[in-house]
Amino acid sequence: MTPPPPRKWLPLAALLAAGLALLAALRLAPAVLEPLREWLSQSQQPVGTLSNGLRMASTGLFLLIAGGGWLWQKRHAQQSEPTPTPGLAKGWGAGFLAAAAVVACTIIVANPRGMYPTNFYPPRWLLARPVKMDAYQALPVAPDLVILGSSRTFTIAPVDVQARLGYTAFNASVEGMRMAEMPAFVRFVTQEHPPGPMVLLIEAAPYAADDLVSERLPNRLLPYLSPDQAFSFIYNRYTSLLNLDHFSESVYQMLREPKESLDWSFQPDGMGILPLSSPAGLEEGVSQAIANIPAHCQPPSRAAMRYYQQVVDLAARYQMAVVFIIPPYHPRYYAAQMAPGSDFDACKAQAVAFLQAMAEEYSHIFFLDYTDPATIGSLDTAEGYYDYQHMTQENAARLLEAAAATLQQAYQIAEEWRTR
Amino acid sequence: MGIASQGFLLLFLPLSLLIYWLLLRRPRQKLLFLSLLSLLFYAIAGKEYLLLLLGLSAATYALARVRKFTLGILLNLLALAFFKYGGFGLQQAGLLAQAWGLQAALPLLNLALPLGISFYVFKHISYLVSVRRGRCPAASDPWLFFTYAAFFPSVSAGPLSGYPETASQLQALPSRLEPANLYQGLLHISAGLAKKILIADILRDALGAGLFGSAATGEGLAWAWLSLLIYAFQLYFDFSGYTDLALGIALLFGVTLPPNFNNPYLASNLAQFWQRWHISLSSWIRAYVFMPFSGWLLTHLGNRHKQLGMLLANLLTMTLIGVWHGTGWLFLLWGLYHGLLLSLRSLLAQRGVQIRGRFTGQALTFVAVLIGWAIFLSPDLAFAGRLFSGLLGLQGVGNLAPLLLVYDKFTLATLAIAMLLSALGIVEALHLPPARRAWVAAAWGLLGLLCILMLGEEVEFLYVLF
Repeated sequence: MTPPPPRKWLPLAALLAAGLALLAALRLAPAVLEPLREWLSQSQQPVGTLSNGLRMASTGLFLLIAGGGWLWQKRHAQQSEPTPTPGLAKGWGAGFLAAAAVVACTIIVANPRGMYPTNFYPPRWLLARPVKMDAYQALPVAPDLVILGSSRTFTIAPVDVQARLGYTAFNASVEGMRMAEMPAFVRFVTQEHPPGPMVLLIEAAPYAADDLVSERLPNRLLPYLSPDQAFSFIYNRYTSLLNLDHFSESVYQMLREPKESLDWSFQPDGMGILPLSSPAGLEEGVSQAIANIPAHCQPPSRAAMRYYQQVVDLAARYQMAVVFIIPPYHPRYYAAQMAPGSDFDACKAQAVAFLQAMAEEYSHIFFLDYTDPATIGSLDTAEGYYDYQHMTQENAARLLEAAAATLQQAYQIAEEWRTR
Repeated sequence: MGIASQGFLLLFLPLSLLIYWLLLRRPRQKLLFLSLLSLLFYAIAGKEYLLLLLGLSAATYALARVRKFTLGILLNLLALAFFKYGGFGLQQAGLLAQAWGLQAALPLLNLALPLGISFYVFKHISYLVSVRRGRCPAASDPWLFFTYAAFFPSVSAGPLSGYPETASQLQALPSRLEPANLYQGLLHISAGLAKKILIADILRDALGAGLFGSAATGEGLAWAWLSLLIYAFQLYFDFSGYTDLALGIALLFGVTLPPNFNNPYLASNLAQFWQRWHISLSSWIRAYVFMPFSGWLLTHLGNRHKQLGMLLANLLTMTLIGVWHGTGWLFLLWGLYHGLLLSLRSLLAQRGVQIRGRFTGQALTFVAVLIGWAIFLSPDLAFAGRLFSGLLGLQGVGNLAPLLLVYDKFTLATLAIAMLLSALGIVEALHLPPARRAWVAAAWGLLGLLCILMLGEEVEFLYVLF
């Protein structure tokens, strides 16, 4: 008996129906799905409920097609084995490509990490990079001083810099900054407003990070990346279109509230502000962070050191001075890190030695280590820290006070350099 | 980059296939392109040892041309011994010297294992022996030999293919992709990924906490047997998943590699198990070690000591398989264990003692294999002692509550599916029922995509470490 010709529309229709059924189920039957969701979220797997659900559904599909085929074969043992036809390969391709298209389109439309040029939904994550780049581009001229770093330097206020030192400033710190991005940002702040700022105040704390740039980097920073970083950036954009975590986030994005706290708000000068914590909230947060201190510290990565050097070279090329700083931690957290048995100090010492050596070697490089909160005379209450690692504007002003002399010295060096 | 990484499956493979089938017409062009791809793949995956692979392949090729086969074999074995066993050997020698009160200042060798060295060295030796035995002429084309030795789908963890079979295919690479090869290749990739990502990795994560982790899981009878069962299926699905991927990728380039598995856990006796588990290695060892060695023994010991000869041949062969898997006394012990059981089985068979009933044979063989895995998986003797004490019930049944927290419902459901697929004999892609409808093929495509979604950056296979 000749088998009926394959119906080409069937896989697509089945996929569409499955998608609609899933959406309907998620929307209409929470009472049924809630226990399942709870069970899935209790699983050992590290990713979210939807990811676990998809894993289980995939395992079910595997069992269904392998086991179903076995059953069918048992029932129709007398039939001869078919020879694979081009239709089967096309069927495989249709199933693969249709599902890939659904996943990729969902990720592009929801765009939870701001990686693609769509904005149908509010971001699920804090995305300071595009905000800061817009604000910087809107400046009429380059400021005297630019602050680069992670969210730990969000609160260094340009107005405080102006008041204390008389320099115009801009805070270009972004969440989860990696050293790998720093050279690109240095190129950006210089080339957007040539000849660029006189002084860069750079947070040197992410010394253990690898050499990958953050996937939250906006596409328009691409021209400022090195060729290998640009390749890895584009490759990451491509593979992220077929990534379960991104897909899950996208579906959550469409169905649920944003996950990450987006409470940071930014001033036009780039400074970030959070609502103050309550004293009890701060203490609890610090205790939790202390409990999560990793067993071993991470020493400076070779890649990070390579990027420090790149920043130093770029600064020399653009005649800028650089002040590297390590911002303070909450005193209790700092004490826990330095407790007997902890190796945090050993790792930090390696980074400090490297940065100090650079500061000694180059006249335009400075290094200030404020890891110990006592070095800036920090305010240890909820008015001084949002949490274990984020200082408020109050403590940021104290840090500026401590760094004032070095910043002035750096400014003078850059000024002499440019007027020469 | 391994063959189960997004970089490989979403970039390297599609681009390579497009160039291979759309731009290149002649078999020679395709062969050179495969050489280049293999070189590139190895350079990305393990660039530190690219020169070793190139040098060893070049030396093997040249020595075969001048018929210096023994030298070629020795050179390859020396490289394998140095990189794989050098560090361990020096460490043991140091310990021995210490035990005898000698102050030997032996250097510490801490070499990373070059990617696929255990596999390409065996391929080189297989080639040298094949030429020596006259099964094929020495390769006149260095590209052909290099592509055989470093063929990228199988360079990391096999399967080990023979030179005559592979070279004949590489010399006559098809100008167009056959629909059968295309579909089978894609099906193998889907099945391989599903086995690795959906089964093996889930079981691996559970074992990480339950068997190898510090979780207080009771350490009783239940812990030991359940952990062992999970390990047995993790290892099987991991390696057979890798093999299906390698076979599928090779098929997409028009090359058929030999299968490595044939429902090993359905074997009725241990000899059958070794004909079904890591078939290409077992066949290699049988052809190049067991047969020559048992032949030599029979000649020297005579027919009167045939049983002794069989025992010695089994022990040597299985010990070799054991140490091939890694350094450490426990691998050797694992090989000896299998060698002894195989010898015992052949002795009993010669005296007419047979296990009645297929199921009884399968069950006993599976238990024997499981006990072997207990030796194989143990990182040291203390761990093995703890595991065997659990297996023998010396610690009691154990506390089930913490055990079921680690081996949760998700893990147990996955284990049940793995066992069901194994019992039905449909684990290997070759044994999967053939699709008759396009929508079944589409479901395999969908499954492949779902697995790629879950891949992340890099997936590590257990056998790549051997």
